[in-house]
Amino acid sequence: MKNIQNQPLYDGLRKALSTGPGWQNLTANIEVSRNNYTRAGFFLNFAMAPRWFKSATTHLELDADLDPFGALQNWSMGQAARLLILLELAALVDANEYTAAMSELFKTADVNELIVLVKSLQFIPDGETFVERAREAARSNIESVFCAVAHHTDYPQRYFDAAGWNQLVLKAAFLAVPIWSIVGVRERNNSALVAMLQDYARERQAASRPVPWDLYCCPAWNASSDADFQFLEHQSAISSPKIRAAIVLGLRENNLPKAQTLAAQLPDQPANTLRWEDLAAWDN
Amino acid sequence: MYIDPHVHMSARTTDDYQAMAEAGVVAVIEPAFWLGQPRTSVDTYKDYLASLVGWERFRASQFGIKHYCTIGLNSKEANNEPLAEAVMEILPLFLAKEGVVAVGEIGFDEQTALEEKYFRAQLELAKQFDLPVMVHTPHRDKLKGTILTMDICEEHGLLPSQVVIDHNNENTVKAVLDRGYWTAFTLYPQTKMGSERMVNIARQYGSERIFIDSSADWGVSDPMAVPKTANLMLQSGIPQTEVHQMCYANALAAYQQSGQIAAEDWQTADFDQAELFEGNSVLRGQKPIKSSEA
Repeated sequence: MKNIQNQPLYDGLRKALSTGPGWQNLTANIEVSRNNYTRAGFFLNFAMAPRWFKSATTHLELDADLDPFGALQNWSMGQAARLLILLELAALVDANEYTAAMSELFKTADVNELIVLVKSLQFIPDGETFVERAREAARSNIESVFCAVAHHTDYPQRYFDAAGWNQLVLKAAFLAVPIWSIVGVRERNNSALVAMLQDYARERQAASRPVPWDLYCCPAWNASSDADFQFLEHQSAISSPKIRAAIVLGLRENNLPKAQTLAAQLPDQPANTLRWEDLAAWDN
Repeated sequence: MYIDPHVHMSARTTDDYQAMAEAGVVAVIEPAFWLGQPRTSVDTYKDYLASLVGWERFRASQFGIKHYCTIGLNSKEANNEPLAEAVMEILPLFLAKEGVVAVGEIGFDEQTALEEKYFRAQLELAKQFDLPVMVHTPHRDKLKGTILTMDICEEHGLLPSQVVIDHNNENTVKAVLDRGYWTAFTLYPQTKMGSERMVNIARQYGSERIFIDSSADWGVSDPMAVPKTANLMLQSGIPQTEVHQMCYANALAAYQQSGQIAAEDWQTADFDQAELFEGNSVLRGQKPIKSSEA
């Protein structure tokens, strides 16, 4: 058994789980794996863990630095047990077996398993090994699987290449799930992505279909050319109050003087204290 | 409220899901089966099983229907021994998954030695994983095959209450009921068992341990068979309580033994709703995405 790489998280999970109804089952089965590892046994433990904890829910009491993006908020004990089993696996087997067993698990996962696997990528050792699995999740039309890779994690920001990043944000727009809260959305914003989002907005409008309000954060942060500003001005004129506010908010956060000027000129000025999370709660 | 406890939704359209939901179907059970032609590799079989616990479950949820499945090696493909051996290797990986309510559909097609070998092996898996069994009875030489099936189940120590015998007809119903098995009927538009025949069976045998399903698949079949037959039963004077048993409660009782299906599942919307919370924002509903947009 190697050292647990993420010891503080491991300890935090054990502490949270030790009060649950499945703790004895979990530790007994982990012990069996430690003494005689088989891949089938690992698969079985991962599959069965939620049953040991039945429907017990918990708000895992973890230090903020163990879960910096809030991925483990609202996790059930069964989900936490699955993450613990993954951390155990990483410490128990060599790199080849770890990669092979994890890949097989991804390939045969049910929806809830897949959500846990994808969310766990930011916590498990050598998470970047599974970047292609994360890219598959980012292509998913299963909203909860997509959100598992898009939200409450810096994994895509760290490991997705430029094309992968841009497709992630575009897919968030397509699924109408939050863009503004994707970790790194401002830091990794780029012109190619903005062009795609502008096209997407026009395409939706041509079909008389709604455009996600927070799609506009990227073009507003990035605006520099006359065409960029014209686009935003026009969109503000034809869109809902929520989108108008999003455009102003984005422009206020764009340091170019031209952006500041346009931000101040547009109608329906939102309060200076308005934040993206406040705007998210507005009616569309 | 209805359950269709045997329906191959992978072969059906979203229109079917919509119609079923509107007619009151709250849950479906999709047994693993063949694709109309034999598979040539274990990998395609694995992908198929993965889709039953993955994509198809999600697809159903978009229409407000809870989707469960049974996992097994079907009788037709049991005759391809190399494939069957490889499938037996991967079944344990899927049998432990959430929402898997039985080993099935397993049983006989031509009643060959290989079919029997893998039927027996899968009965042992059912015992190991503590799951009920969904039995497909053969369409040819049915009565003999049905009796043989029950004999083998008992030889392996399964209780009749753990086994659902499906695709019954007028010739098999008495033998199956008398031995204490769950007795299921498939309602096909032209073959097997039509709604009118089912009404007669209900009149004659009552509703104890009897339930109905559509077995709708890629062939001529009707995914609305359960609600339609329920209506016909009610119009024919069969009491509401008995119709409820045959079109909902009995199937639930049979498969509830797996611990993987419960009425609470469709009484509370869950589907990991926490996933969709973003800070304080409003929960976004899951709207069907038309395939043309995907």
